[in-house]
Amino acid sequence: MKYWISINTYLWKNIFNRWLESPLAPLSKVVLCFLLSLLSFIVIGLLKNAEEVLETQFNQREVLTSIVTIHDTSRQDEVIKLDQSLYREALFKKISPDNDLDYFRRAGIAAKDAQGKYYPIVVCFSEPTFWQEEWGEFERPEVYFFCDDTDAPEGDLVIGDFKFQPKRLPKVPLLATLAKGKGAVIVPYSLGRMLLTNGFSEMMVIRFNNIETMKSTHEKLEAYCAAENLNYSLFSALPLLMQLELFSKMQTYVRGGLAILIIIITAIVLGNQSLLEFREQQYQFALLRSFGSPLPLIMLAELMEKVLLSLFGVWLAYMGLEPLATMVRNFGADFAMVDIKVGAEDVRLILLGVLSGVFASWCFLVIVARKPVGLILS
Amino acid sequence: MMKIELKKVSFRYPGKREDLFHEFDFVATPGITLLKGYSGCGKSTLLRLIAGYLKPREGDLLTSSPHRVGSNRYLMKEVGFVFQQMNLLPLATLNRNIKLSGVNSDTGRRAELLKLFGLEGIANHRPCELSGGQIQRGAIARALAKGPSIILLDEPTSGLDDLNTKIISNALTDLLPKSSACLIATHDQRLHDIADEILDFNKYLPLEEHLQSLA
Repeated sequence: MKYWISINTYLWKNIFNRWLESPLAPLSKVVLCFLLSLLSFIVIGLLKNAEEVLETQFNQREVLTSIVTIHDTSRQDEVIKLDQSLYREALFKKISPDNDLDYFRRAGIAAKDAQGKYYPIVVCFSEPTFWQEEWGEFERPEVYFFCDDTDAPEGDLVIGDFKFQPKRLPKVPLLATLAKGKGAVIVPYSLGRMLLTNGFSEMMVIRFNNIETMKSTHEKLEAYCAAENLNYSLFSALPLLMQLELFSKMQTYVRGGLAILIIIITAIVLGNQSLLEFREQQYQFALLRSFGSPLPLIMLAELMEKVLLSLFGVWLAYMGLEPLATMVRNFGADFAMVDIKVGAEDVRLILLGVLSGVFASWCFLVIVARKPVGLILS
Repeated sequence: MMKIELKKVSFRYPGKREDLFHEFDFVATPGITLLKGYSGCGKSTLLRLIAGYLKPREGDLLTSSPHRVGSNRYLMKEVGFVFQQMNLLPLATLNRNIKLSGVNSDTGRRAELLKLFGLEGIANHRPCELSGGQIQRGAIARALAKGPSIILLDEPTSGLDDLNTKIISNALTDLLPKSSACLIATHDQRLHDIADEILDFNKYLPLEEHLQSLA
């Protein structure tokens, strides 16, 4: 045991002596791993940041919601148009059975309050999906008005020849969007049908469960509207969502690419440097082997040296991220980099890349070191 | 009793077309055997083959050691080797060099050897602080420290003065265990006196043929 300790002590003494004799050699190994890791951390961090920003923005909006507005511009009678619209509603609900689909029609006429202010009228033939959760149970048929307190109508509402005292409901963001931010009147079906004969526009709000169904439903909708020659407009975050998906995919590729790049660069640079160093040391190592010191023991010390230096480089890069960000902040920069956050997963990836590179460079060394002692000590 | 036997051993250096040894037979018995011959005739190669530093292309190399020729245990326990030059580890003191040479070297034996070779005063010096003669004596002390049964010396006295040579030859005669086989590759006539046997490689390869092979 003492003998093995002596051999190991000598090997480490030799390593430290080498560091002291030419400090640039270990320094270059540390710097290489430091720079590669830092670069990777920054790239991964920036990508992650951008993805987080996008995700936050999406989450603030109803990102998996599409709004379709249809204007039937044909010269048919309004009653026929309404029948066709009802048929469309049934059809779209069939097309998109797994998603929440709410179909509204906005009447061509508006309600008027005592002050002479006009309010849009929304007619729902089927019960919208959010009613229960937003408003709970409420009686129908009744005329309701949903709004903020600020834009509540004063007194009775007049719709055509009728006067109503509408009941108040809290504002629902989704409906408010359709009413262009203001409140709107919801009328029962019976009254609604009559009001729609003066012209209407259709609005469909679909809330999807995932991007795939969103994509396929959009395709079907667009195909239908094109075939029926309908004038429609589709508001959706799908293109942005596709970008986010692309971003995620790109991140995976970038991470993989970075890891491979690190492995290749580390293996080539460290391998080449280690070979040069080893050639200087090989007589000494051969002498040790000539006493019976096992080659794996010698090579293990070489590997440990490289692992130690490269881990130090990665650690420096990790620890250097925050000071670097602070420095950038002090220069007054206002971009995503200053908030770079590197997760444990990313550190593991970089470590794996660096250590694989180190291992590959060590493998070159092992191949060279297998040369018989008798050919070295000749 | 250590016995080394080479049976029809053939060896060729990588990149060479000709065998240096071709079906070579040789037996080494305990005692000191001098290997003589022209430069490049294979004396040093024979020592390296016996140590296991080189592997024969064909043939068998047998020893009475329980360990496989060339294995770490064989080198650690059975073999003491002295090279022509650069024998000592540069970062270790002379004492540590001897300690590192094998598992069997105890403190008492190391001190005794250092005294016999006249190295006790410089035991804590590094090789860079020693003369050529001191290094070579240190190398032989290191080879003998673990009490090996096979001692192989490659030109141990080349370039050394008579005094150093005398110290070395006396130490070999006095310290070599009776059961050990010692092979010395040398041109040095001064070592003839201590040899139990002399193997002259020249008889296998006449001068004209040797010159031809070198050309």
